[in-house]
Amino acid sequence: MSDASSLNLLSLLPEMLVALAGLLVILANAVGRDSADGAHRWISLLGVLSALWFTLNPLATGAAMSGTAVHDGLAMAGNTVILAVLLLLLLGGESYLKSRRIPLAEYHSLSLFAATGMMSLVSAGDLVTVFMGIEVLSISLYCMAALLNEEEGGREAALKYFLTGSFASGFLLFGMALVFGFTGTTNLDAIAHSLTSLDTDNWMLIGGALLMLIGFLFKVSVAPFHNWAPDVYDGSPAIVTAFMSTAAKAAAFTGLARVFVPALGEAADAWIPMLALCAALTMILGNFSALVQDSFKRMLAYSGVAHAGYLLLGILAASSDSAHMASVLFYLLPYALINGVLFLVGAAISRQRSGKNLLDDFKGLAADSPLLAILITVCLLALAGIPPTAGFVGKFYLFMGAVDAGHVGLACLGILTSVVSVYFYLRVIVYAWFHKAPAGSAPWTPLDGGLVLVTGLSALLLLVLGVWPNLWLSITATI
Amino acid sequence: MVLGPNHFLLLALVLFGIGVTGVLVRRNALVILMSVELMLNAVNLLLVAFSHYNGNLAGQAFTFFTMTVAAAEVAVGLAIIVMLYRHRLDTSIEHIRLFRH
Amino acid sequence: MNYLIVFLELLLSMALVVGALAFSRLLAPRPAVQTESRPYECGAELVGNARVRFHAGYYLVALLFLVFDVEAAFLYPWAMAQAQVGLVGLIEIVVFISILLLALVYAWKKRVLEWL
Repeated sequence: MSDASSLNLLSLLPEMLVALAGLLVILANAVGRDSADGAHRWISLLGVLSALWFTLNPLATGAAMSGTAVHDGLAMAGNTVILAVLLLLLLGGESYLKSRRIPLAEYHSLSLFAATGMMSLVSAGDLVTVFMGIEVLSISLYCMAALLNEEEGGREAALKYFLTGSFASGFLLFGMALVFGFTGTTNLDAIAHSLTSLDTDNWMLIGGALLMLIGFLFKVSVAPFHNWAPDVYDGSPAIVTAFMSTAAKAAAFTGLARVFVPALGEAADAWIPMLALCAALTMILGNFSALVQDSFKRMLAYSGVAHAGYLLLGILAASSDSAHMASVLFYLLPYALINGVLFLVGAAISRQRSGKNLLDDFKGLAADSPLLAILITVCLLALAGIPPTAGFVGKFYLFMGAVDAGHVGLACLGILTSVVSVYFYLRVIVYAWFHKAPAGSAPWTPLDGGLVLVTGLSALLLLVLGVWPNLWLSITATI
Repeated sequence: MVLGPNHFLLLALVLFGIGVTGVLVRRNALVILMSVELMLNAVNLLLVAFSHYNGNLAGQAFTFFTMTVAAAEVAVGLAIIVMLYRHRLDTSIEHIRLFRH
Repeated sequence: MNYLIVFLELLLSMALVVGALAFSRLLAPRPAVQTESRPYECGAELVGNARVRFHAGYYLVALLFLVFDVEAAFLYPWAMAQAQVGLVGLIEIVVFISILLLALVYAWKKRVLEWL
């Protein structure tokens, strides 16, 4: 079974480094003094940076652990997105963690463990690895959502996230069991291989694929399985929301692509109608629900739901031609960076005003901090898909892919709902530049330097990728 | 009567259905947690049965992972429910509006 | 006219019920001592209500036990396949157990093991 020659552990180096960093943080917390809080951050930073290095310059690639993990271009791109978000939160989240008194060792180790799960998911070669990756990331995130347990909203968010998440896991697992029963294997390559010779018009296979799809759609918050997302994103600590709405979603999308596009591609007739229907519903519901929100966090949550719909278009395109997978992977990076920045900066701005993450908190931002207003504007324009940002390029590839695959109606719906979405993104920009701060609001205190620096770099990256998309596209297209 | 894979499938489907119904209908977090466990155990049954009828051990190995993951999930879930209970002295989720707008 | 019969029947039935209850009250033997009405007439001394609250400490220990006990399930496949997986398997299982030990050390440091 597992002899040394097929282990190929070196290709799993990034995952192992991140997991090791998480364990070291716990060890430092268990044996070290209470005052050694800075150590957690440095250990995490070291782990993430080294993992990022070995992701981009791998010592070994290909199948590892007897084929249960595969390090290919998909894994490389997915890992890069996850580690980039982690890096962003590590560098920019320090002041948030301090101000909310979030236990540092627990936060850092849990985020590293969650990242380990995400990275296992994107490099999964077996249904067992897919399941373990999803569960490791979900269970870590359940705990992270509960970090603000002194607040009513935080506790309820944790419970809601946990109950919906484990419910979804049940569906996912049942689907996996049915697929295993039909094909007789859990290895993704072997499933793809066996489906070429088996009759795919079998209710066990179709049922299994659909149940797995329901499980995945719950996890990536696609309508009609998205109801948990706004409440959970709203109640969780902003830095955890920034993590789960970006890295976790990117990992789940990559996992979804891994399971459905290559492995269950032969049975595409069974799941494509459902996926297309969900994509349409998600784009409409997400964008129109975001229109009426007063809370910045909830608005971003619904915008995240809408973006899950756009990303599903990419998966649909990839199911007819796997080259379109590159457009999904391309869009994941700007999407993750934008949302990570917006949740973090939004929380920091709101803390100076009402503290309730209201859209009104952005009023008069340009007068207080023009630099921050520019950052927010760039990020929101990128989210709306306006050139010359990476958001535009990403959406362009996604919609073009959908047209190529024959889903012209869905692509048109995507463009139309994007136009709707411009309204609620522009609303924040208008508040920031053309409204006055409410009377009696406290004087502005400059934000933490690390946060401004890292968000500035992210915004710059969005513009650079918007002009030279090939910088990132060349990596995602190596699949 | 000879037991075949379809009998196990039927039993697993019934157990899974009871679990799903429990999650959707009951309003107590603990009962919902138990229903989720029932769903996972239905899958375990199915995996072991398929493993037997397919003649390979992959399903049984999978079961080991689902069991341990379920245990970790229960530990975290109970901790969250206890956390909520300490503040509210109630495990009902009536006020949380799960699966609803 | 017919309703009179109904009324009479109602009276009769009520009288029967009240009569039966009154007779049993008069005739039935009563326990001489209070102990006879208890769930256990001898043996265990009854203390308090059956619906007691368990100490929160039980739950913490139970949670820890649950996780460690179930994780031990991974040791059995390794023990069965020990001859085939050899040194690599041994190293893997040592890594696995040390991670579990680290969790135990963490729980210890967080004073979960002390009885509250």
